[in-house]
Amino acid sequence: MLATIAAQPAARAQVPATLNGAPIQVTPYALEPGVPAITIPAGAPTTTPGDTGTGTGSGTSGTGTSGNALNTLLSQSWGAEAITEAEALGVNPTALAATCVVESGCQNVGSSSGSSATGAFQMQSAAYQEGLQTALAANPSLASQVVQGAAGMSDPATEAIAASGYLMQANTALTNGGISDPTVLDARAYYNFGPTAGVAIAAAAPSDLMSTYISSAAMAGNNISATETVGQWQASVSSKIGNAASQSVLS
Amino acid sequence: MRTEWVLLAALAAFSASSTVGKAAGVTVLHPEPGLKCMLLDAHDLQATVQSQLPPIRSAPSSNAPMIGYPSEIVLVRDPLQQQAGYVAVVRINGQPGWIAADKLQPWHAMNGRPGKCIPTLLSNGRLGTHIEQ
Repeated sequence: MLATIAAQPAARAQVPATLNGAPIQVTPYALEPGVPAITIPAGAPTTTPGDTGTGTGSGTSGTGTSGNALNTLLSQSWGAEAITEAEALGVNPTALAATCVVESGCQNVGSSSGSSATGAFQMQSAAYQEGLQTALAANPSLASQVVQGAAGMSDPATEAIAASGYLMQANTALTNGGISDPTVLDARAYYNFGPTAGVAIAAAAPSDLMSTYISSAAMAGNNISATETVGQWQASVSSKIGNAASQSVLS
Repeated sequence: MRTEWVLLAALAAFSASSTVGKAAGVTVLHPEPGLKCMLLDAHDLQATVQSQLPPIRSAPSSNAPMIGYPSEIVLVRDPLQQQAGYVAVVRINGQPGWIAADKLQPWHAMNGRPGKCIPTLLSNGRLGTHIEQ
C-alpha cells in the first residue's frame, strides 16, 4: 500500500521517473516505544518463465515474495512506466505487478520450451492482441507508448499495456460471471484457465480437486498435479504475490 | 514523528483488514437446495473469450436483456424449469436468469472420473460448487 501511494505522484501527464530498487521507505531516526519495527523485504525474482496456459503464458513458477509484488515490478527499469500505464487504465498497479511476478518474476524473458508465450507477462500472441485492443479502446492516448508489431511483445512497457487490458477483460468476465469486485486471485484463475474454468474455479470449494474443473491439457500446461486442490493452487499463487491476492483488479 | 507512526500503523491495519476480509479462508457453508449442476456443451467449453459463450438472459427469450455469461458449470433449477427452449438458472451472485437449453449437457467432472457436483453456499456469500469424488 505504501508503494502504491508512493507511485501515485507520477501524474499521467508527466514523464515517469525510473526507480532503481524499492520505493523510498520511511526511516525513523528515533524509535517510538512500543511500536514494532516495520521492514519491507526485498524480492528475489528469478528468470524462470511461466508455463503455457489458456489465455496467456500463465505459469505459476515465478517467485515473488509475500507482500512485495509492486516492489518487484518497480525494481525493473520499465516498472514505473508500467505502473503509470496501469493507472491510466484504471487497473490496480498491484494486480499488474502480481501478474508479472507470477509469470516471470518480472524478467523480460523469452518463450519457455513448447510455449509461444513471451516477455515479462508471458502473453501469447492472441491474448496480447486482445489485451492491447482492450487497453487502447479504453485509453487511446496510450497508443503513443506502444511499440508496434510483434516487437511489442518483447518490450515490457508495451506488454504491460496489453497485460493491463487483459486484466480489464478478466475483471469484466468475472463480473459477467456473477463475481462482484473480483480479486487478483480470481483474475489469476481467468488468466490461467480462460473464461469458463476460470470463473468456475473462483466459485469452487477449496477442497475440490483442480482436475475436476480444468482439462488434462491445462493441468499439464500449468504443472498442476493430479492431487492438487483448488485451495492448494490458490495458496500457491498467494504465496508468490502476498496480500496482492486479495486486492481488487481495478483501482 | 508520532503522527508518521500513527499513519503507518493505520495503513498497515487497513491493509491487513482488507486481506482478511476479501480472500482468506473461503469455506463451504452448506449445500444449496433447489439447484443442480450442469455443464456447458463441449463446443462452448473451448471458448477462449467470454463473448463466444451463450448469454444468460433475464427471461426465456432471445430478445430478453443479457445479464451475464455462464462459467463451465451452470447452476440450474432442480427440478428443471424449461420454457421456450430456455432453462432457468441461478448465477453465482444469486441472480436468476435463463440460458438456451441446447447449450447444456449433464455435468461430469473434467477428469472423467465419477463424482457428484453439489451446488453450495460459500462463506464469501457466493453460490459455488463442491465436487465430491
